Amino acid sequence: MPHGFRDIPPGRAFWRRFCRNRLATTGLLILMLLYVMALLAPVLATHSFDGLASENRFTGPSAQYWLGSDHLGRDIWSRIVWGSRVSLTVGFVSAGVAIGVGASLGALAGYFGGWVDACISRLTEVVVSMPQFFLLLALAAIIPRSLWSIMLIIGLTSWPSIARIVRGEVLSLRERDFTHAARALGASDMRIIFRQILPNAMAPIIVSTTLRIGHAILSESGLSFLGLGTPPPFPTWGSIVAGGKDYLRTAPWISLAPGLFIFLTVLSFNCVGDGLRDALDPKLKR
Amino acid sequence: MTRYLAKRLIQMIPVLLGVTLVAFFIIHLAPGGPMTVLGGDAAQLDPTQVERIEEAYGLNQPLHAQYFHWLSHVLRGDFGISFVESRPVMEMYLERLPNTLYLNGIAILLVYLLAVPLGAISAVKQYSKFDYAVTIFAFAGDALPNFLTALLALYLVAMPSKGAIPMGGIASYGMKAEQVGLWLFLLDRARYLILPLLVVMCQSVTGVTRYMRSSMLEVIREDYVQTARAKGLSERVVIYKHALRNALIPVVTLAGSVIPALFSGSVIVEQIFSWPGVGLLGFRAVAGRDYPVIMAFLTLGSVVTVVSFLVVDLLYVAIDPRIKYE
Repeated sequence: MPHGFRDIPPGRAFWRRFCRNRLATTGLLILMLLYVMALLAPVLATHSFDGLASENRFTGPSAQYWLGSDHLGRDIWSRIVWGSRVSLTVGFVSAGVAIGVGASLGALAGYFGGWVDACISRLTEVVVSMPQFFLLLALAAIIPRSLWSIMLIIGLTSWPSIARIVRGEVLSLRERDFTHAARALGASDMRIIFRQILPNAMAPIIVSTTLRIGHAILSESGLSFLGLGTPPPFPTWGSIVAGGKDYLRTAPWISLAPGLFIFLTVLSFNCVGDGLRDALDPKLKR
Repeated sequence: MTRYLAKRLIQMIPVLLGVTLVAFFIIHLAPGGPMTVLGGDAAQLDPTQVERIEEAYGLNQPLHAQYFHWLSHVLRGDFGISFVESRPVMEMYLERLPNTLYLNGIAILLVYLLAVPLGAISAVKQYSKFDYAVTIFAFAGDALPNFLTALLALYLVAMPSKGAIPMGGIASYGMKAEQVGLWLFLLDRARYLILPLLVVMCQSVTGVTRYMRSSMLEVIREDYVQTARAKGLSERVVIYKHALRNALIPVVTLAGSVIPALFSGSVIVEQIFSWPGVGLLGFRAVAGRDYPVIMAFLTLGSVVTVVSFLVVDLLYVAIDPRIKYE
């Protein structure tokens, strides 16, 4: 490898390095299972997610209610299965928003420098210095809530870390020979940024996206837990946990089962992100 | 150094102005606006009543005039009157601040006391069973939502304890040190503190541990550590005197992102444990759309963050002679 050159190594070498990391492969497997679960929700759910059955309130885990039922007699397993669609979608879309905004702003700041950099850096500092979760909470309470608005505000409050990483990458990449070559060939600034520089900064972007997804799922479930997350009809993992917190003594499964799913999902994203970091860039390994 | 400090202070101005702009406008552009809180359903109100309320809170002024009016008061430390409690916002905040400082202060202290040795030993014994245990623990802690940790603590500790460990609150009603004696008073405080403390610690101990571990790993590969070994110093002196001290430097900077929690608390933890701190105040303000309190919260939180980043950078110069800002 040319000195300091950071790119995704040829597919097979990368894949082999990734597979050597047992935590990362286990994480990937769990995530794939979760996706299958979300896709097959209508098949896997044994009940409807909001079917009330007042005669079956607070039943413990059983053959009929795999993970028990809640205070309205709704099946927890079915609610978790349907909730996985919301949680996973929120994770991906909000991380996507954060990447889109963060990578573009970071690239512009790093590439153009000067006052563009100064403005974007100050903007980044504004967002970073505001209390993150509280800002999210305030926005969620003020804006009319929908699945989309929740994903948007999570994305729009979490882009600064990505912007900083990308800015740093671009600063070093813009002085490389291939950038000069592209410019000599008459490529426009935008073309150089998006076709030459950003693809070469992909490794850290992919890693931080993966970690962002887990983080976004945590944020959404925190909001849902406080009653300010994705609105009904669909259940979300955080709201199922919140629904059970008053019955913790008599029916702990209501809160603990979906809580475990959040934990497992975020853990898997973090493990995969860590594995990707090691596989994409062996020098970054700590 | 003075020039550096001046430059940093000047840079803080646009950032803090940006924060106040964001805090002000997101709230005033919200559909419904402050009127829905102050007057209930505006459609049902008499137009003269609407006018009277708007005038009392300055809501009939153009938005930019309202902003400058608000900002000029904020600069004097006045965040206005709470819509819900009709009291000065600053008074409400300061009233609850000690409770949050108490919980988070002890938590941060213990986090560092725990995370520094854990991270350091983990690095010195890299790839050992201990190291794996610490790494797994850090991974698990990062993925655990704090409301789940809190509910687990309630379910596993508070409920089986039959009242020895309370489910929430900060102290028994009417418990005063003068009446029951200092020891009983402190014991009572500790009973209420233990669970929220554990949950807050769980949230931040993993990050500091991991940071400490990687910092230590970097330092023990440095030349001066090899030199210290070559001089024939015992391993203990090499690790704990030469390596550890230098590895601590970056960990100090991490305090810049930990300190703000001292002043804004954790909404979720305070809500679950009914801890009467600023986090709970913030949550109630959000739930009740108490705009002056929300704006104060966003602004004060940012001021604390910006200042603590600066303090940490200055501290960096003080403890690491290799760094000089010019």
